[in-house]
Amino acid sequence: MLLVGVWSSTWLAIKSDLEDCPPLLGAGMRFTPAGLVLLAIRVRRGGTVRTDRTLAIVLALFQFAGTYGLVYCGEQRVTSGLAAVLFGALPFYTALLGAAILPDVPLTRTLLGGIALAIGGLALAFAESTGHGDAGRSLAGAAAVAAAPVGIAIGNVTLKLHGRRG
Amino acid sequence: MAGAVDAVGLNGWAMLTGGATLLAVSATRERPADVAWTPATVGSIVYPSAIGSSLGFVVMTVLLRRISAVAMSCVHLLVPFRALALGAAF
Repeated sequence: MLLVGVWSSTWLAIKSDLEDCPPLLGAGMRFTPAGLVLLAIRVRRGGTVRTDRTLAIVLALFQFAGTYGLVYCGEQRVTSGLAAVLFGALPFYTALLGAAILPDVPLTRTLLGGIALAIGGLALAFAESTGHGDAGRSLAGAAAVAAAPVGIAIGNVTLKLHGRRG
Repeated sequence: MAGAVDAVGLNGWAMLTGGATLLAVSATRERPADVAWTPATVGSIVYPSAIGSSLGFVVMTVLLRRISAVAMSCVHLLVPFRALALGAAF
């Protein structure tokens, strides 16, 4: 619930940011200091900053650079609410990827039903997005935001995979 | 879980590397001079940075050890409802 509250408000902040700042620069300025702060906290608490390098690089490239690069570029062209709705496709990607990669996550009928619903919802959201302003531009933006969660899905499944081995 | 990777360190490095990658791409394509430095600009960078990223992703990594990846990503199904409400309010 905390995560829902926090992550729903950040969409608005991104939109506000984009009014004054190029997208990739804005996203970079968001994550670079956040990373530094986390490492600083780790050091202050006396922990080690050593980590699993492969895991960190997968998360860096897919979850942070890939996903948020697309989100920031896409949100230039669609409203913050619509962007958040499109991003809701995430469980759908995670479910597909999880079923494909994690050995004990089967593709159940319920899951497939949910995925069908998700696709229906996405189609509705796309239809809505073309109704505002320049249809071509907002469609491209919507497509970028809808593709973005693939990066997080890769990150989540990789983390889960790693946890099992650990 | 034995040998679990520390969530703070892992996310710290991932965000630093990911952020640096974004800045590098930005440097080749965008002009920093385009930034209009208003208090709102600073706030809209600092807020998602501190609250959304630092806190959010650590909570997520810790939660992922306890629940499934699919259940975790369903958080994002609830987010749009509040985001739409907030977007409409401002």
